[in-house]
Amino acid sequence: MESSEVYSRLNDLFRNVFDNDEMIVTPELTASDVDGWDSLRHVRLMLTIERAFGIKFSAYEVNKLRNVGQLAKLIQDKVGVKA
Amino acid sequence: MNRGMDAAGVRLYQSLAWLPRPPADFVARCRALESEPEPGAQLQLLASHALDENDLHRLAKLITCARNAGHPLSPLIPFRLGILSNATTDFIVPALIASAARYGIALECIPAPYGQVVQEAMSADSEINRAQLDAVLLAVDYRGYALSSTPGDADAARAIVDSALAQLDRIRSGIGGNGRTIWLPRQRTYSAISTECFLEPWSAEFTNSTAVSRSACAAAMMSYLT
Repeated sequence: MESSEVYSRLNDLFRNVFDNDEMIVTPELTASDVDGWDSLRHVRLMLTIERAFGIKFSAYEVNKLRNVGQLAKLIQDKVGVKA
Repeated sequence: MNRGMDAAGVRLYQSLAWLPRPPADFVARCRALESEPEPGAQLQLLASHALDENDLHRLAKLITCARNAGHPLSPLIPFRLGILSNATTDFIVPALIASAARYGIALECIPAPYGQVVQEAMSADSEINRAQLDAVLLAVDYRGYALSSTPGDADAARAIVDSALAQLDRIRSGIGGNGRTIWLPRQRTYSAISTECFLEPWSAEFTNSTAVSRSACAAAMMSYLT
């Protein structure tokens, strides 16, 4: 899956989870940049992404993520492995 | 949830497969209801779809905001539910509120602070006991009862079970003694300690059902420990 497609789909998913149609997802985006991105919302975000891409994250993988760029890379790796 | 259920059954419940898919403009319809003075019927209609976590959160937020704004939620029937648990319940509260609307209930949830089950039940001025609740959901799993395995030692297991049941009784009497609630146990025990529910005293079968559930609960715990 192309990086642009991953970001396009992530953008829709983030907007849905955070209920914010103005949200723009970038590789540098972190939880501290987004109002309401707390631990509970983070769990819901990860579950939403897992379902949308048909993948599963381990707790270790989620804990290692530091920004959306790393998240997108992880998604690409998993979708690629799956394919 | 999936004990004794195959993968297809799990998927059936996870996806709420028997309900219609939400409309494509679900989000827009929710936003339109933000300015609706009497949104109850529309809320129930939207709740009747197979909603995912994000849809449930959105709908629950809408219901809570409408209630806080003083908008009538009729035909939904108001119901105040306290939740006592030894686990984080933040994830289930929006799902309960939005799903209750599907059943015609305007549910308001009052969760007790994390891990404060006994304190909230016993203290007369706790949030749970002051909240004029219609019911209290006690959602405590085995971790909340200090159970420990005693392989081959039935006497030790029995003592632990008695202690756990005594704690459950203290919680029950605490809530019952500080309010107008009684205990209506679940009839099916899925785990060592099942979820119990305290309800207003309208159940004529209280005495019998309590005895049945308590013995079933003790038997399940003995089986679990030994």
